Amino acid sequence: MNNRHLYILCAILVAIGALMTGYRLLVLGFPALPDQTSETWRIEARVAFDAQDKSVKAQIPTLQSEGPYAVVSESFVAPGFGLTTAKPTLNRIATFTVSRANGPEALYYSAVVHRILDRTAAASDDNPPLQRSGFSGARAAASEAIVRRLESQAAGSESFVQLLMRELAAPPAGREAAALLGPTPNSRRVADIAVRVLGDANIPARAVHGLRLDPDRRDARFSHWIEFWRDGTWVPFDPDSGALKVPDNHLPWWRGNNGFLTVDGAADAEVAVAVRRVYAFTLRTALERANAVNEKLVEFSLFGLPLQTQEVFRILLVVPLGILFLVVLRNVIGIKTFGTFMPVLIALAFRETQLVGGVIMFSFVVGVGLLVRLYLEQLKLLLVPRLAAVVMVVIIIMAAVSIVSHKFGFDRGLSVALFPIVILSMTIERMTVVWDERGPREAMQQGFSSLAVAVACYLVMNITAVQHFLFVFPESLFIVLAFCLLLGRYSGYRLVELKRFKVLAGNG
Amino acid sequence: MFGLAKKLREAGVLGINHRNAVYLLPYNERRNYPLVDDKVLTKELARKAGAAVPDLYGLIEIQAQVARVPEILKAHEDFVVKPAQGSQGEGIVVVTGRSAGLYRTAAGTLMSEDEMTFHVSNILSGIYSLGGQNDKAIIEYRVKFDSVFEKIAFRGVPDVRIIVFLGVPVMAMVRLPTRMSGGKANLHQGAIGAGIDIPTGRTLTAVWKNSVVTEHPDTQNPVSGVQIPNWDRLLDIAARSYEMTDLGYQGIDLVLDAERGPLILELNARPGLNIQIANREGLGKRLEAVVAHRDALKAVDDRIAFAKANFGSKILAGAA
Repeated sequence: MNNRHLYILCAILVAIGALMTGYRLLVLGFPALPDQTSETWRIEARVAFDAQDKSVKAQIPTLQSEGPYAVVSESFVAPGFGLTTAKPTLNRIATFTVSRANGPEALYYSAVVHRILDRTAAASDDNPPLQRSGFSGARAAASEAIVRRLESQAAGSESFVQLLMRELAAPPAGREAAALLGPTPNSRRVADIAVRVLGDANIPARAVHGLRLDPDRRDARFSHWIEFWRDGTWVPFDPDSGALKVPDNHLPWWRGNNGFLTVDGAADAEVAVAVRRVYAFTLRTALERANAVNEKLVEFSLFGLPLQTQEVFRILLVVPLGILFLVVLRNVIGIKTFGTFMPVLIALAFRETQLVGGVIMFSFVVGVGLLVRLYLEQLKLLLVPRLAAVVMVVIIIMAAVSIVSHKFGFDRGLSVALFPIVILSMTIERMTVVWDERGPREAMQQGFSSLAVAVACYLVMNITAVQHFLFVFPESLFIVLAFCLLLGRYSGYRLVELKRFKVLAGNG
Repeated sequence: MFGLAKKLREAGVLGINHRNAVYLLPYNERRNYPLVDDKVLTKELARKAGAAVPDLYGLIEIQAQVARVPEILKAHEDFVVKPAQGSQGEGIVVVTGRSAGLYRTAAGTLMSEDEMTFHVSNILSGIYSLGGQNDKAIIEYRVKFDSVFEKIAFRGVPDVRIIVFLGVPVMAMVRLPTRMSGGKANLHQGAIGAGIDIPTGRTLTAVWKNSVVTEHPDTQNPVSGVQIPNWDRLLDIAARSYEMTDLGYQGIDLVLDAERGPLILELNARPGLNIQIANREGLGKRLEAVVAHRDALKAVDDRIAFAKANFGSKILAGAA
């Protein structure tokens, strides 16, 4: 046999895989291990209100990529509502409309935001129009007084802003600032007043509203800070530290005087925002470096795909490794399984059901299916209708398991629906044939070894480091393929054959 | 563990990966497989090559022909009904005679005319064929096995399996049904496999399940040292089967009929490896010897002579 051909092919495959992986690993610096400090957040806003039997129009700002943050994906859920998004001014606004609605309604907005350091600053805007505070009477006088006093102390707009913010943060009792802020100032009000006073001082400014990115926060509160115009760019000011930067770990969401939600035709509006950190394969540093080298490399990698598709590939890419493992178990060890790739598919289902639950559910479905199938045997049905009947029985069992487990609160039982139905049916069918031809013992033995192989495949495929590596370096699949091809010409003994032919060892 | 593997390799024991990668894939072309997987084609092939096969009484190919079954059967006192593409003896009904208008089977049960036609119709729908595709039903001559086997077979028909590599008979065994195997000649179902010394045609030690036996467990008669009748004729048929199918590596199953002599029962393109246990010897060295002398082994007689000269049992040689 022309094994040289095969060896050359495998050597080429390994070389391609190793070179591409090595390039990405060593030159581009893609991380070989999962990056637990990755910074990706899922942000969800829920807007609820009571529609009052007339047309409803609700507007919320959406997140935009800026500074170190990139919006990877966003989605809206608003059943029955029309949706438009537009960017009339600074903010991108999502408008939900419905011609008539009554009763409680809920709209959802969610976005995945990714933190990338050192992104280039946004292009500068045109000079903004200057807006005076619009204070009148005593408040106008108070504002004037503050501006006059601070202008005498400050050297330039930067120190003016700092002095003003310091004063607003801790207003001395009875002075002008206290009069402007009112009795119970919050950060929103402080930002608002600061912007207006800065207007009187001829410094264009605007309020910024954003979120603090906590690891897991169900009811996140908005934070407020300001930006002022200096030398052709907007300069953020962090009221906590007094530095000219966006507050640490804060994601700017929208700007200006408006609140988050404006709604017409409804009452009792409520906004709830949740922030959750996602430990995805974000590869912060790698993406940055690849960006610096060649953006096309990122675009033409799996990271260029939408996040949901990335999730799919995270699973798909470990399947080849599971299959290679299966080939080893079958052709080198000699374990018999029902169906060639059945254990890998069952192992995939285990991802959702979890291991113990999955094993129990698998045994249950196959066990009951087997009983039914053994009964059907007596009816002497023709092959295709018989197989079809088994498929139906499997679906009925699954439905029953789901209903019963849900009723008793084991929601994990619902994931039984993820088992591959046809594969289960074929397993039951083959098991019956073996049961008939070789007896129950052999059937059980093969059934258990199939299950054990599935568990082993699951354990191999579920190693986070393995998933990460294959996802970041899909080129390494060439190496997996090469091994698989080599195993295709493996002609040594299977482990079980050593036992089988043991009696022959002495006669050589 | 590696020590054991090394010993087995030294003994020339063939593993399944080795059989597939080194012998089946290179020497057996896939397009030839249907010739042996379909027993109707095999029969036709054998007949053309002048080898004897059990006579075909009738072939039922479509459901509409099922009505003809009783008419075909009327002419024969005893017969065998089997699927053309069945495997491992599934779906075979052996009828030995009639009583009170019913068919009497070899298993000792009775079948009515209706049950028989239903069985044939099941065969056609593919119930016994592995892929589940539509099948044909064969009605053929029932083998009356040679009296030599009467003492060492429990019901059923013993058959002789010969592995033929490039036309050279390299190893042989006789498979003897037992009570445990239910009259079937399959080793994994509990039949006895007894190796055969190629030069003489005498049985060697026998294997039952995983242990070496010298007596038939049901009849207590010795299974070793039995002379297979017509052995040279069997070797000749086996050697010629290579030209019949063009399959380089195949197993041929033969039966010895009391009246008609050796008949080809079926051919197998993926013969099992248990024959090594029955012979207590590996196949590897014999196969390598054939490859090494391949060019000198063109004529049938040369091939048989080569087998007789080289493939005598080492066990016998050791004992003598």
